Amino acid sequence: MKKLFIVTIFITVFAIGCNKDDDDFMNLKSTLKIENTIIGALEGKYLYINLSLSDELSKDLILKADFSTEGVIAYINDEDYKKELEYSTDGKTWQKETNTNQVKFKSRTSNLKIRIPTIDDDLPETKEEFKLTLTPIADTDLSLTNELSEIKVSVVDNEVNKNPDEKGMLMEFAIADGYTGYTVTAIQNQISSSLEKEVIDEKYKRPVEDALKAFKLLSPSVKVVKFTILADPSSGLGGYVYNTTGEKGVDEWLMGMNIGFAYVDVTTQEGGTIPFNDNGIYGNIFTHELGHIITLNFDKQITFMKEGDACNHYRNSEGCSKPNSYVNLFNTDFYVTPPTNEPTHVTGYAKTNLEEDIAESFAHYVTQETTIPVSTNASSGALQKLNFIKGKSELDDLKSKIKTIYKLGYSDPGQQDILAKQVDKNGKPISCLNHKAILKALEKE
Amino acid sequence: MGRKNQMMIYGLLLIMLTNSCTSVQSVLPFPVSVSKEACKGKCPVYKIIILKSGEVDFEGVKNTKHTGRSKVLLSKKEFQELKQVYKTIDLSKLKNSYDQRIYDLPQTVIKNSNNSVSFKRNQSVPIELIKFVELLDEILKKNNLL
Repeated sequence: MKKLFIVTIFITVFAIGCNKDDDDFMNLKSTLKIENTIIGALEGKYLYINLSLSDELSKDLILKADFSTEGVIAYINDEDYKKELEYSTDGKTWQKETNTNQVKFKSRTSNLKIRIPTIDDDLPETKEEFKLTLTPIADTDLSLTNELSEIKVSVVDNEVNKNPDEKGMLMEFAIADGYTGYTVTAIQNQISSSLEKEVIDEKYKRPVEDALKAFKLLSPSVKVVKFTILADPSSGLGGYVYNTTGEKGVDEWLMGMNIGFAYVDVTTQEGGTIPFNDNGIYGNIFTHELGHIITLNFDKQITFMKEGDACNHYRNSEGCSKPNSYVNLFNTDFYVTPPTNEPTHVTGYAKTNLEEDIAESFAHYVTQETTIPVSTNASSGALQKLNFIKGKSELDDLKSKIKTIYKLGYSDPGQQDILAKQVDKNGKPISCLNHKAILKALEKE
Repeated sequence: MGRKNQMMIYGLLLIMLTNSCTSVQSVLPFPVSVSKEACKGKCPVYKIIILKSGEVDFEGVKNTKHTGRSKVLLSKKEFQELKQVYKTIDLSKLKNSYDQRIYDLPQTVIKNSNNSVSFKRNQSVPIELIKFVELLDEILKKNNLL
């Protein structure tokens, strides 16, 4: 009993002694450091920041966090992370301050772990960023050397991205049967311009919704199953299209569009922002791509065949054209004996090959505001080709329908001069506006 | 093995390695020409011939900063970088064409005295071709040609 009393006395004295030491501890000078100023996490996970003090302080140190996306091209949206900080000294027990953008570096500690939660959503995004600054709240008692600098924070999307470091964002959509809807299936590559970020956030919707309306104009058996968009006007690429089934002869197409042409004025050096398709160039490119599908599908235009199989009509890489297909008739009219009167093609790009020629002629016809003058053998090749399109009722009918969806303009300045370059049978140019001269020239024939 | 002998062997290995690198570079087939054709849009259309000396004969056709012919001497660094990528391409072992039926992508043609390859950028194209053209475009941009 006596022994127990003595032990108790000892423990009490020792405990008092310890407390006395704590009370005596006094240090108000230290240097605040950060382990890494570039941090990142996969969405849904925590972002971690490690801070340290060169010397333990005898007073709590409060730090305030400021989140910023100013000047960040691939900025992260507010809904993708919480502006809440949790902190811990051991990495196991985490706590929050009432003011959740603050953390406390408790006295008598030299390490502080901070974590920020990010949100796991199902939206395909890409690698996005924000800036974070931690600032000690002013305390006149403390003599603090602050070595913290701005932290670059990135949150990586956990949806599919095969090439997260490649430039040139590419958004991919799966199109529902009957064009009733669409799903974002992937965002490839990284964001390298503010336009690309705006596209991911919102600007992709209008081009996709318009595309669905336009695809409904196709024959029901001709399906566009995928739509992709890029937003890089500087690349110059307007669009592309191909049959995804390779050599199976099934009409499942992919169309890709550079919506940079819809949101940026590519006609000027400055390239300012414009309302969606305001100059009609994007609409013209879309119509050209649609023209490929209309003239190269297996429904009415092309018969699938293997290499070496006989074909008695125009043949291209898709297969053998059907006798009354647009490409076969176009070939007969303009490629067996090509027209010589200039301009022979509606655009320079139309000279690439027959497939581009007919797609350009279609887009150019649909874009025309004025009535196409009737052509003769003496007319320019371009005018004859426009009349070819006009003479095909299905193609002619599409003109008004496409115009209800897209504003249409010419993709090359000066293209509207095509009609102005009509020539008479002696090869003398006649202005399109000079209808009397055109009629006179036609009378002579 | 004595320390001197070891040093000699390392030295010889180093000389052999340096010589073999030099010989690979010296057999790089120059001149090499690259031409980029039109797309639906405003893609740069140009032809370029790269000579063994690092001199570049550029002809901007359309949508390039410089239209018409121009001669540029690449910096040592630029030419070295280009050669590093070029030596990964063996045109004789590639298909002549990697074109898929993709309408409106620009076609690129790379040619040397013996072989040529044409392609439209897509996943089936060997990565070294893509890298070579990307680097070339970057260099042409730096030289204010694109």
